[in-house]
Amino acid sequence: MQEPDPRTVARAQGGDLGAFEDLVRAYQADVFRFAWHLTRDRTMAEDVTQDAFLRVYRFFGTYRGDSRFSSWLFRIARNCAMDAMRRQRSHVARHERERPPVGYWTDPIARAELDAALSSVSDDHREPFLLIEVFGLSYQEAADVLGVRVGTVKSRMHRARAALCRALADEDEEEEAR
Amino acid sequence: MNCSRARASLSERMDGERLSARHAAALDEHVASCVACLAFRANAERLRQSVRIRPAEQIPDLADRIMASVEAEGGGPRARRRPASHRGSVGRTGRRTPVAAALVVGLVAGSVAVGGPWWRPSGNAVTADFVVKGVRAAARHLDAYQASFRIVERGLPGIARRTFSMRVAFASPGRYRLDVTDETSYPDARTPTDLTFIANGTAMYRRGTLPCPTVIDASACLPSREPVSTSSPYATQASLATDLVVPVDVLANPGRITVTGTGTVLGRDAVRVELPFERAAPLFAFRDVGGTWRPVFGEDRVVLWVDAQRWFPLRATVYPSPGSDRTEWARLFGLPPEDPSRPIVQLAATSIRLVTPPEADFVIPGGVVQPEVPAADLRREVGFEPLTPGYLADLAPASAVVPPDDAGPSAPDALITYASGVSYLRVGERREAGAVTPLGGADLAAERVQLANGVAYYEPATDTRGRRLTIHAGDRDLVLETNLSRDELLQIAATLPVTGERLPRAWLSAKASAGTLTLAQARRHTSFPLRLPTLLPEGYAVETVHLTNTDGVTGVTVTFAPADPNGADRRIDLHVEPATILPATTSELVKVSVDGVPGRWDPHRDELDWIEGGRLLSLRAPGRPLSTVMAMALTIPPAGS
Repeated sequence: MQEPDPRTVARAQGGDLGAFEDLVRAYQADVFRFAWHLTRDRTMAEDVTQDAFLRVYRFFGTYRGDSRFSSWLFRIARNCAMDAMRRQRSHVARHERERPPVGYWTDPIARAELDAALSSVSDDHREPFLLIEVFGLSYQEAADVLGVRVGTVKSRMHRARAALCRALADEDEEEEAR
Repeated sequence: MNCSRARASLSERMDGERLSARHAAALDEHVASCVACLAFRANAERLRQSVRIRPAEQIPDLADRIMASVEAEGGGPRARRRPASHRGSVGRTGRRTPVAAALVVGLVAGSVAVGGPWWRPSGNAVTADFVVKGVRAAARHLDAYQASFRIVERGLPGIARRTFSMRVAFASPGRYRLDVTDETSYPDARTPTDLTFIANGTAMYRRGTLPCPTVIDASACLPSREPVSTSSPYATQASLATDLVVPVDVLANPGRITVTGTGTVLGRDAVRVELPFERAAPLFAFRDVGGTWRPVFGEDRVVLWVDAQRWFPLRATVYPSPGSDRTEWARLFGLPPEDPSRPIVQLAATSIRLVTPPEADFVIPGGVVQPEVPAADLRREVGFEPLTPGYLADLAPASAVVPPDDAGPSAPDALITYASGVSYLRVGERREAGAVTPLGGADLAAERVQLANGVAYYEPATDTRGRRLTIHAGDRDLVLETNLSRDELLQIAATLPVTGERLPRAWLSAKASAGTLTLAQARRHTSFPLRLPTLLPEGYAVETVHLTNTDGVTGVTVTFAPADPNGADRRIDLHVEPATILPATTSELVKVSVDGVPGRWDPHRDELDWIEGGRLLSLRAPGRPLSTVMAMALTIPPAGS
């Protein structure tokens, strides 16, 4: 994921609403995707995205630039998602009901396979997978977002990848058997 | 190396981790000979490929909603740190931290470079007055402009979201073109709102679908694809507001404008202002060209970003206003209550270039040629030397037109346009002893103003024309029309070598200064039955009777006022004039039936219009609902009774 121009971040921190809007426009899609994968609820993901940027705005003064802006943003987004899910504890039911945003993957078969595969791994494993594989964060950055040690991220990431590869391989075998 | 270790290492390497040379070599050696690990690597790469394909267009655009919530945070910690001295002028969302202050300094410097001496340093705060001065100065300096915009409209009943692209081209003097392309995928076979507008001097061309007068009943919309094409009737009127180039109409005065911050938009230093839609409407003048557009409430909030150096608009977003008035208004159009934090119309520049558009852009289709007359031939053509103001506010002569003899009684004999940038002044002159109508169809109820060289009659700008001043001087009549400020207009008029007189006695008798014209007198001037409603609110009586003259058509306006002298703002007007069809309008109107006759209700103006017995009747009662106005209308006796 591309980092923003530090001047834009500085302007936004200085109260420049235009610069802040530039950041919103640049990162809203990634935050929404991340939020959707955590909540599996489109409406909740929209609310989480809004809430995340609102918190960024409120606490921009505490961002010192010693971590990547995207890592800081995802950490906030994750906290917002956790709060939202705590407020609506029925997210497990939604988990099974909702599908990913339309158009997320271009190939509908791949989309269905990945949806099923991602659903099969636990939240603890899905989060590092999304941050690293989908959004391109490093282990250290994902560890910062998730608040765990780098070693934990590394092992969870590998287990998630192995599980997803297994799930996809199983799908292939079933397809061939048909 | 075993398979478990090898796959963990493959995973780390895929994620950008650096393996030692020895470790990497061992890994490669294992994978090269292990079918299962090879399969794992292939699957992992396939997985990566799958998840990284992310078409973005289906992801919701939440930016405006997010920014609205951010703006609602006006009392946040940084806002509290804002110096108290800035609160009055910047508004609740405008923070002025050191970075922003530095931006303002840069912005002021840039504006001075464009605008020259109009700016007077008065501290760091950007005030509405500062913006107004900057816009007025920029209006004289912007000679060439090409831009593309994207328009998103939400909430038209039946269609959640519509998108348009728009191209705007301007070249001074007086050449303006606007093309709107409707990119919406409609669920039905309705005609897209594709529009073209071209102005070249006094010649004008429009093409597009006819405006849909109501959005309640789609079947009431004219399904016409016929182009609307016209040329100017040689009136002095402006063709279409050029506020997309420089918002000179929108930001001509600081009233109801709040500067709420500074920032960067499209990489440009920008100033953010807020104003109600009714003030910002000329920015959305493309809606007046034709087609169907969702209704917008006059008090809806517009957030406008303008370039801090050239002052052209960069982004304008319309948010529903809160309150019961809007809810009531929305109900008339079948609109649900709308969230004040969710934008209903977004207009955003995608590119702006200050280069001269090709001349072909301004060719009027259909061979309409602007009948310009060289300045040297003007006297010979019109038979007299047209008057020229001594002071022209830095405008320069741009064109002269001599309308044909059959152009109508209210057309001038000569029309001279002065321009600079998007600023213009048109001076129409007629020499005719014993003229029976005012030049240019001026409203006889215009405000009388005293100039150094006599009296003149001033009318503020409307949606379709600029500010106007009418001067009567013996056998000469002049009309000045401009988008300059009122003060500049009056200054210019004061330098005309004429002595403005009161309007002729014949016109004055028609003017009906308060109480002087009786209903009986008004009836003698008209050819249609003038009958009044028998039902009026308690205590209301006829206050004044005015004759009006619009392009040679004489009408009557009767004003009813309450007995309470403080109730001036609750006057009710009945206007009647000869007509067989309702006049064209681009307002959003509600289709109604008045005693079986088709009519329309304008909820913006609280005005009911209908045609009956060869008359247009228009009953306006500010602040009163349709039901009350309809009840009054039904008590007006029909023409034949």
